[in-house]
Amino acid sequence: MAKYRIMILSMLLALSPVCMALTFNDIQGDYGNYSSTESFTDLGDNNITGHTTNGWSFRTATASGNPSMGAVKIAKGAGSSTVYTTNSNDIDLFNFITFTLVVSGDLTKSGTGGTAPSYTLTGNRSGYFFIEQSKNVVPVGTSVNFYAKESIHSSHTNAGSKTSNWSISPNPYKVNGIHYTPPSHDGKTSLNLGGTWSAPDKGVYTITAHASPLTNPGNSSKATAELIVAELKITINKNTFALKHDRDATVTITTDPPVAATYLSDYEIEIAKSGSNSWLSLNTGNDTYDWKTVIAGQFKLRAKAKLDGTNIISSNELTVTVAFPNYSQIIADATVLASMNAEWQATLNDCTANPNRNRERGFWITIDTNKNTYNVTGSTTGSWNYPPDGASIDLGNRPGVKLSTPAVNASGAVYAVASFHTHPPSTYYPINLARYTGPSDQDISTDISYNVAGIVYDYSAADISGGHSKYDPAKLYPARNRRLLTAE
Amino acid sequence: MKKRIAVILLSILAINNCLAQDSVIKNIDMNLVVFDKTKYQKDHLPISVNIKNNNSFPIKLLKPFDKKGNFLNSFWFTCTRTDKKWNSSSIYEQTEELNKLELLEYIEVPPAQEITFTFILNEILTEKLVPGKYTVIMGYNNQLGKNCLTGYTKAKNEVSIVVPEEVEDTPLPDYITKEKALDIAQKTNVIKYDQSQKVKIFLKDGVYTVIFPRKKLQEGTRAGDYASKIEIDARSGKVLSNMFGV
Repeated sequence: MAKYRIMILSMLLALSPVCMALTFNDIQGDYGNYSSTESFTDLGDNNITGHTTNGWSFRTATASGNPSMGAVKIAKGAGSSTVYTTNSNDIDLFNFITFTLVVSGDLTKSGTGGTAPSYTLTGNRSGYFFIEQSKNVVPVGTSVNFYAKESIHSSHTNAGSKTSNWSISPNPYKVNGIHYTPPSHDGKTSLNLGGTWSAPDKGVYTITAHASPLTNPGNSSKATAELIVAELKITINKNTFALKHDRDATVTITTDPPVAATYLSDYEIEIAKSGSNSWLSLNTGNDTYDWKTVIAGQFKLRAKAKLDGTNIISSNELTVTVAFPNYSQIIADATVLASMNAEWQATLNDCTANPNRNRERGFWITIDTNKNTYNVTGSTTGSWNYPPDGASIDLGNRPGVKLSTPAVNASGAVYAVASFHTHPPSTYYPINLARYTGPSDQDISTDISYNVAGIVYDYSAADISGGHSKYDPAKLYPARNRRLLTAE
Repeated sequence: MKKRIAVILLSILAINNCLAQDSVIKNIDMNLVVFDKTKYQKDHLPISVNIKNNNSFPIKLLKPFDKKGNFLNSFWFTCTRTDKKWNSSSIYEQTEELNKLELLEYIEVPPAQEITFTFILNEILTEKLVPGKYTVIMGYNNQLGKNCLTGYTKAKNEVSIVVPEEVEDTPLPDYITKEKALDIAQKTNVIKYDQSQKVKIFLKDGVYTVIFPRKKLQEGTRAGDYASKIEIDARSGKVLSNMFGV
């Protein structure tokens, strides 16, 4: 039971207004007029209390303060050894950040007459009113808290909440592109931007708190805070690339508003496959990155950075396509072209009248995106074919990696990009037999199933008959334009 | 490939005075629309793209063909046969000439309005489509042009089209019979073929085409489409051509 009594007493004490005061002791007039100035040292100090030495008492007492403070009352004074002010009926007093309170009058001593010495008790309060904010720079859509506080220490220690009227500039501001006028938010010690008021679009905002009620419009009763609502933007010089031939990208990270950049650090560019959320780091520490696109696929890029060294801010996402080279690009490569010409020459040599036979030749064309070079696999030959049958060739399994195999941020990969094969001469076929030149549907279908571009070396004429010259003009034909990104 | 412009603007409603914005794709609905199946022939494969602007401001789109009729491939298509054995995608290349701003054309789509482009697929695909049923997907990917919609998006739907087999003609009274044509072809053919498969015979434009199947090959082999293909005049029975396949 005693325990509960203590608890209840403690709660009552906690809820009671604590009357604290700046106290002057040993006030007397033995040496003439008395004057003393002290500073308030506690946020709860709003009053002055004076105590005389033995034998002296206050004959009169008057309290005064800053002109705008209005009347300050003497609760007790004349004829007493104690004088003190009260503000219980003058709540405005509590709202001043900085003020001076003076209690003055005459002193008297028991049994003596003569001139009464005067006394002046001056209490000074030099306070600070400020806004404490949870963050200075935030990404769009983030909630931020602002707290109005006062302190009589420049270090903002022993700070206490201060009821205030809140405003924001610009007003109205935009939320998701639409003008928004925040509702009144007066007499509150805090503001939640993103809750009490809607979170604003990117920009620079000034939050102002006026100590409330607004009886003292001086600087000491107004505090401001700046908030930067930032957007991290990632841009790229273009969105479509091709391995080897068109692989140079410039990725840039910027902030809007630009001033937000001064708060950012630890830039990072991340990449993920389109449709995936497995992000991998592509580059760190730079706001501009010269990216060599060496992995084929459809990707997303985004940027990240640290705000004030801790909080992460993320950018918009970009979509980037890195395609395989096409037929025209592949056949223009000198290495590839030389190999194809050599195979054509070998195909002509393979075609003989005695024995009457021929065969197709071919290889896979690969690209090493790390070295940025084309290569061809070793020559493959089809089975010897004996006219009048038609020849065929099986190049075997496609070399290199699947589309999905290399990590999206890998430094390179070896991909098969095309098949190549020759169609042999029909020189030693019966003259009443002919064939069409160029890729057959079966050639195309095979390239589709392997998902590569297809290249065929054959005679230039639309069709050739038995007996034609082996050395008739020949050329390259596209069987399929490129390896696609929609299949492995 | 033909570069013929095949753009039909089906609906553009009133243009307002607001300026189109240079913006990334946002709040744009793209839907593929197919035609009645009777409209599809082997060399005429139309498909439409309907684009709705759900923004509160007008958007500017790059037309899919430039002033010279070159397909820009800001709209791209991929057609995949349902058995996965055949596919084709639209022209991808962005040649230097295609990047010439003076050749580009634009069209503005006001807020809440729609526009429809119609493409003839067989004119913009890199490989022909052989008969069969195909799934078509489409995307928009643009970096060209000035103050027009840039970025990447895909059509919300994928559609199916059927590339029909060629329709055979009905023999006229003075034509030789199929059996006779087949007999002539059998006597003409000198190439070994797969007798376990059926010999195909097809009449078109007064010509019988007889196809002798080649022997089955291992998967992945590049070869001719047939052992031999013999064309015979349907009236005279004369052999017009005797082709073998590679």
